[in-house]
Amino acid sequence: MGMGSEPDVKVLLIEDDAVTAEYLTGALGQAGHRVEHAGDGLRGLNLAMTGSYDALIVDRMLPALDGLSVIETLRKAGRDTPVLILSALDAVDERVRGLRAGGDDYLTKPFAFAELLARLEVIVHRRSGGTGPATVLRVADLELDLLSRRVRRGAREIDLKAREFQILEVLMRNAGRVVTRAMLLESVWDFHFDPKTNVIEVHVSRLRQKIDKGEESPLIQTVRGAGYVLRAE
Amino acid sequence: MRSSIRARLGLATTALIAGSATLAIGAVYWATVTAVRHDSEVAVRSELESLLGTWRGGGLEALIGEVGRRTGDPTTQGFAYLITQEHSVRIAGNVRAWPKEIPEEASVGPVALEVERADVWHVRSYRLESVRLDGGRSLLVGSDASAEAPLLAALQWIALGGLIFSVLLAIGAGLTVSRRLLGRVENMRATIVSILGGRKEGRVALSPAGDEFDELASHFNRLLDENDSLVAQVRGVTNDIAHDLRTPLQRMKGRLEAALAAPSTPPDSRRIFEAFATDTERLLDTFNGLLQLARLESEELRRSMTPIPVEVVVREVGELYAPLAEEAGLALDVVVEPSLSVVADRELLAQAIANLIDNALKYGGGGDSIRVEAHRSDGGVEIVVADHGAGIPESERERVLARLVRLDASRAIPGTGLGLSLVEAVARLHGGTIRLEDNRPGVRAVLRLPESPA
Repeated sequence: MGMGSEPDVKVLLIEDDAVTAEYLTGALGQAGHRVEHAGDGLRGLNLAMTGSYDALIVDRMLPALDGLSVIETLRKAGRDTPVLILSALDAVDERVRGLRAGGDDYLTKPFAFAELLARLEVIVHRRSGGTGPATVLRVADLELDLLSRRVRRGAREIDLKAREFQILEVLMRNAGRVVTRAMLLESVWDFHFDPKTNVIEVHVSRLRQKIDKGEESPLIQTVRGAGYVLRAE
Repeated sequence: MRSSIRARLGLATTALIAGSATLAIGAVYWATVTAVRHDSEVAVRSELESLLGTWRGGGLEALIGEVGRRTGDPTTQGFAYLITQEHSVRIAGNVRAWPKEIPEEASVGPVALEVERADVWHVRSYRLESVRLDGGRSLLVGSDASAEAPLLAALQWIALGGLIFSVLLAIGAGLTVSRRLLGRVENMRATIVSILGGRKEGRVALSPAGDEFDELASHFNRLLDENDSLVAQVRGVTNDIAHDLRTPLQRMKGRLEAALAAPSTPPDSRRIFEAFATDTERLLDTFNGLLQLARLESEELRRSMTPIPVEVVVREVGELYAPLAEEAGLALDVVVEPSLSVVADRELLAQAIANLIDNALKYGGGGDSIRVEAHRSDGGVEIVVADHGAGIPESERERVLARLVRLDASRAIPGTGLGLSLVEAVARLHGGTIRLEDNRPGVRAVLRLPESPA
């Protein structure tokens, strides 16, 4: 797929289900990432402690050592490698427990690979980028001021509704990386269910109207089967 | 209705016990009175017969002699004798005068007579028998019945007391029986109501008595267990199928996506893959929906319940759907009463409202607006989503809440047939209900939840 902006990310996949592991290894490889695989929690923890990885993908339920314990042990040892938790449990409590244990994001099985890829790249960037608490976000000639809540494209002042502003903020913070519909629904509305209909598309297309209409180079692009990316051509 | 059964049962028991006690006491009373009377009647008659025997054998002289002898004889002390001429002249005997009210040839009593005994006149009550002799003379024999009256009086008191006692006893028994019996029935009723209300693990408590009610209750409990295990089996099979098929479908979808993304895929194959991907997506949606329903029904989510401000959630979901509604040419009017609160899982509540709005958007075309309301009603909170579309025929309203049910009219519109089932499961999990009403025209879906204490 190769749509990531962080090529050659080194990932440790801790997953006991061989079929899922094989599929993810192949797909992440195609996306330009290197993957190592551990089939249980203990082996996974050993590799994570000794090796050097850009990100971990950890299944919630693992033989030998539970996924959350792996993450907690790593964090106690001072390792801050970004972690994406995979889980069959979708209750809000489970998500909160996963993030509290030190996970950076939580993805419920089953998931679309594009979803996993987008989230993986976002957490890797968030940790390595370290942009700090910027108050003004800029991509090309688009500028978003978090304090005055103003948005301008070049000289043009753009009037956005509250939710549109939030969507744009997420896209700009992750400029160059794919943001999925589910990620937008999570970060803007804090809803984790799948609305099935194209509610998010309509919001984004309205935002796009305001940002890109009449502009020579559109910034908000749709990535088929995955989501959106805000990118200067 | 229950109280009338209780009253009837109590009254019936009381009447039964009181009635049979009255009957028994009455019978004893009657038998005793009859026996006492019979004894003294027999005594009078045999005394009279023996005197008549003397009279027939020896005539008046002998009779007078015999009467004189018997009035002085201590063994016949309890008897009174009188021979008169035309009832007015005393010929012999120890009775002062022929009682006015005694006719000839009669057996009566007890009657008060003045009788001489050991040269003293006493007034006592006697049971009498009289017979006509010849020449205008009559013979009267009486047997002392003065013991009868106090005996009968005592008997009357005993009978009356017994009756009162037994009626009180009967009332007490009636109350106790009805309370006991209905208490047991009430126990079962309460259990059934709570099971119907969603506490499927509820069972009827057994008493240590092990009586017929306990037998009934234990059969009832076994029936519930059986039912639960059957439902669990069916669910288990459904969930296993959904679970087992989900993973390969997910992989299939991933491979199709990869093939679609690869530049080398020829356009013809691409179209086929796209159709595959769409179908796979729909299957996955259905399986995911079924699994989510299964999780809701197994109540794994009960613990993440917190007080949720209804206004906030309804507005958030409204905001989410407003642009989509506008695209469909419908205004989404959100009217929410402030400061309503329910104890809920925010995520599920939002998803339920989203499903209702989604349905209104899909099937409510034809109107010009969708109205989303939240208000307080009868101590509960009602979240209403109303459209002005074609509506659902009344006969189908119950059916559309069932899993995978899609009405013929809506087959062309994509969907899993699980949206309303999920709303229903969410309502049930929160101790609420979902009902579909006629919006004249259109559907008025009312999600009713218990209001959380402020």
